[in-house]
Amino acid sequence: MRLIRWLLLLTSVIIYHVWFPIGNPPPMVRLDYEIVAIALVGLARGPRVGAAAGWGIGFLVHAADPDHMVWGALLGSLLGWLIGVWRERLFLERLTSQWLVFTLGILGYKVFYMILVEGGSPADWLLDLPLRILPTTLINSTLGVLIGVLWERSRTAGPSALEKVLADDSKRV
Amino acid sequence: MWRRLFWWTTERPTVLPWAIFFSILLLILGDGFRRQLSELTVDYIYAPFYDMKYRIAASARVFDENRELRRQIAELSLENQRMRESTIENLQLRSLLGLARPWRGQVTSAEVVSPISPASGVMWIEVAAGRYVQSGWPVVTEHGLVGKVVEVRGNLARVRTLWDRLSRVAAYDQRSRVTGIISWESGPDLSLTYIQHQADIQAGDTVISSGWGEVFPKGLRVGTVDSVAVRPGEPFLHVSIAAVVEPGLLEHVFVIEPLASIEQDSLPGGLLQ
Repeated sequence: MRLIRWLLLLTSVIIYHVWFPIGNPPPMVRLDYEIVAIALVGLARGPRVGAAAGWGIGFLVHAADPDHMVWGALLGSLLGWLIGVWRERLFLERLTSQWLVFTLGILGYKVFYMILVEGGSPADWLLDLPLRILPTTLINSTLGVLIGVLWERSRTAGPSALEKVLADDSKRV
Repeated sequence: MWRRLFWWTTERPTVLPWAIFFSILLLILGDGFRRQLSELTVDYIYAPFYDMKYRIAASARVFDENRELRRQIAELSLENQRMRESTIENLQLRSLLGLARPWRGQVTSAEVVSPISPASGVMWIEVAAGRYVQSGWPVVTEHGLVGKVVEVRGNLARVRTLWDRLSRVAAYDQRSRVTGIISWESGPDLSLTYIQHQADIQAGDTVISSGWGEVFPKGLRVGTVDSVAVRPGEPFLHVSIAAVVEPGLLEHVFVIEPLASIEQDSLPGGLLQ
């Protein structure tokens, strides 16, 4: 079942990327489903799975571009790991705090992505930051929280991520 | 606090160092390796999805094309009914006036096996087994006149097209009925020759075969008038004709077997103007 869920996630990322490619130059506002997926995996499954999923999804999404596939994979991995660590350490159960973490994580990802992958001059970055990166980040983090809520509601069996973490901590203690 | 937020985790083994290691490894292995990896990923993972996207997009187009074709069929059916009525009326009037009946022909399809030669303007066609053609029979497409059969060898036939320097077709302007002779000019262009200076002929006029000479039937579309020019010292106008048939794109043609005279309900659809 877990394998099927992973295959479904990767398939949905690929299908979204095939239908809505990132493009060069990238569009002003884009729903970055692949970034949202990485952040959600990090949030739900912790830093270890988040980093692995981030690397895999980042690599897949940038596979057609040999010059940037490494940066895409690395940034995806860092994003998944960071969201997972924050979730684990900060016990993010409230939607607002989840949204804040998503926003910070995705903003960091987008800024580094803009610098490392998209290139351009510092003047372009300063212009892109308020006009493109910030709106896209807000949209994606909001979308991510909404999908996360729906995902949590759809899960009927098994403890939540917080319950798992608490159980681990209690075992360790 | 920073260490707590960014480094220490409860889960072991940590994947991030491995992710960084693989990323650095990909960088070290070089551009060629990454390119091969990229090609493999695209070929084996993305290709089925791109294929699916293409098929879905094509299916969406099929619906639109189907709708458009249905509309065209409805229009053509109405036009066909009007044409049949006109034909019957025309035949009755011709009968009253004692004029000869228009031509009718049986159409045989053929495949172009050797395209038009740029040197001579001839091509070879192959008719289906069991069908035959004869020298002198006109060759057309659904758009208009192509040429005539000049040689037959079994199922193969040599066609002298309009783009042969020896080809001549008696034709006239459909609007003004000004007559002339169609001959090859240059490249895909033809010319309508022997047109007097004062003749009423304009760019955009349709030129059709006149049936004179009894080689080509009357009423086959040949082309449209592309330009009309007066050249100093020449007694006739220079009328350039853009052929309705694209000579470089011929794949299938039809050979017309001339029969006696037309019956009231047997007009070959689309060939007559």
